[in-house]
Amino acid sequence: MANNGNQAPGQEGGATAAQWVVGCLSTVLVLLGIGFLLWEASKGTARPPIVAVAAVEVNDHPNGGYLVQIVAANSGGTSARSLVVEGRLLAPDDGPGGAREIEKATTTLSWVPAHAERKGGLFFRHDPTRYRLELSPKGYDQP
Amino acid sequence: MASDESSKFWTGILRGFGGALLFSLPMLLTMELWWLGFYAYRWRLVLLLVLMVPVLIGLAHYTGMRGKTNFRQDCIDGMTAYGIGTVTAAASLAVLGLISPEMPPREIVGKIMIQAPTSAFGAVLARSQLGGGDSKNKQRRKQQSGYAAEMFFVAVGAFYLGSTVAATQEMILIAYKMTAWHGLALLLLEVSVIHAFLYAMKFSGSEEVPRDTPSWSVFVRFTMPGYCVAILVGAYVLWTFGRFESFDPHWIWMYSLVLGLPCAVGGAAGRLIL
Repeated sequence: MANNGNQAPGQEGGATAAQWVVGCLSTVLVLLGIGFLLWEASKGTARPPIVAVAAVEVNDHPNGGYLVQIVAANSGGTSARSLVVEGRLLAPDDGPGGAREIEKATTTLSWVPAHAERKGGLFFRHDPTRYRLELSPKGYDQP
Repeated sequence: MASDESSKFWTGILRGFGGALLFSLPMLLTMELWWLGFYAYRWRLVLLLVLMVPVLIGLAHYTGMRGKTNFRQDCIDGMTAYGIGTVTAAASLAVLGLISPEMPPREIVGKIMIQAPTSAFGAVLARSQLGGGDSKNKQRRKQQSGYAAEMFFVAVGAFYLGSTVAATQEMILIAYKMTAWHGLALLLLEVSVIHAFLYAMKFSGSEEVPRDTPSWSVFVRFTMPGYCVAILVGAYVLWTFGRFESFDPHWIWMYSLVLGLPCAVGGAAGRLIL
C-alpha cells in the first residue's frame, strides 16, 4: 500500500461543510487569543505589585483561639512571590503612646499573581472582633 | 488453540502493565501530583475519571490489533486497561513508599486515582506501540478514521503530555515571568508545531488530504481546530488540577498558553502515532 491517503475510503479528499465550520470557528478563537495578547502587550511595561489585604471572615477556632481568613489582592502588573502578611490586634487609641499592640500574627502567601487574589488565614489567641485588626503586606520576592 | 489464545492473552496483559508503567512514570515521580492526591477537588477528579471511560474505549477501538472489533470488545479492552493502569499506579506508589497503610484512605485513593488515567492510557497504547499484532489492521483503521477521530487523537496526545507537567510549579513560574510578547511568540510556535507535524512533514498518516489541497485550506480545517483542541484540553487539565483558582482571563489564558506547548506537541504526536 504505497499511497496511504488518496484512496482511503473514509476521506473523499473534499472538505465537508462541518470541517469548514469547525475550522473557521477555531480560527476565530485563535485570533481572539492573539488579539488579547496584543492588547496586553500594548499596555507597556508592568507596574510593581500593588497589594491590599482584607479580612474575609472571623471564626472561633476549635483548638482555642480565633481564625481570621484573609484575602490578598494584587492589582499591580507584577506577581509577588512569598508575600508576607502581618495582622496586628490593636487596643483603642487612648493615650499619647498611640494604639497598644495586643497580638501579632504573620503568614506568607507563596504566590499572589498580578491582578489576582489569594487567600490565607491568621490565628489569634485574642478575639479579633474586640480590637482593631490591622492587616498589612510586609514584603515580597519577585519571581 | 486454547493454550495459544491463553498465552497471547497473558502476554497482552503483561504488555499492558509495561505500557502503563512507561506512560505513568513522569507523573508518578512528580510531587505536586502526590499533594493533589489529597487536596484536589473531589468532584473534578471524579469527572476526570468518568470521562476517561469513553476515551479509553475509543482508544481501544482505534489502536486495537484485532481485525474487526465490536463495541463490547472495545469496552472490555478499555476497562481492562483502566484496571491495569490503576493497579500499576497503586503498586508503583506503594513500592516508592508514597502510599502506606497509616495514611488516611482519602489520601491513598486520591493519589492512586489521579495517576490512573495516564497509566491506563499506557496500558491501552501498549498493544499498538509495544509491538505485537497486525500492523495492516492498524493502517487500515487509521485511514478509515474520520475528522472527528483525528481530533480525538489530538485531544488524547495533548491530554497525556499536558498532564505530565500541568501540576508542576514550573508551569506557574514560566507563566508569571512571561510578557505578552512571549505569549504571542509561544502561540505562534505552538501553531507552527501542529501544522508542521501534521501536514508539512511527509510522515505516514499525515497524507490524508490530496496533494492539490491548498495549504491554507489544510491550515483552517485541520491545524486551527487541532490547536484549539490542544489548548482546550490543556485548560481542562489545569482546571482539574485546581490551577484556575480565581477566575482571571489573563491568567487562564497565560497558563493555557504555557501548557499549550506540551499539549500542542503531544496532540500533534498523538495524531501521528495513534
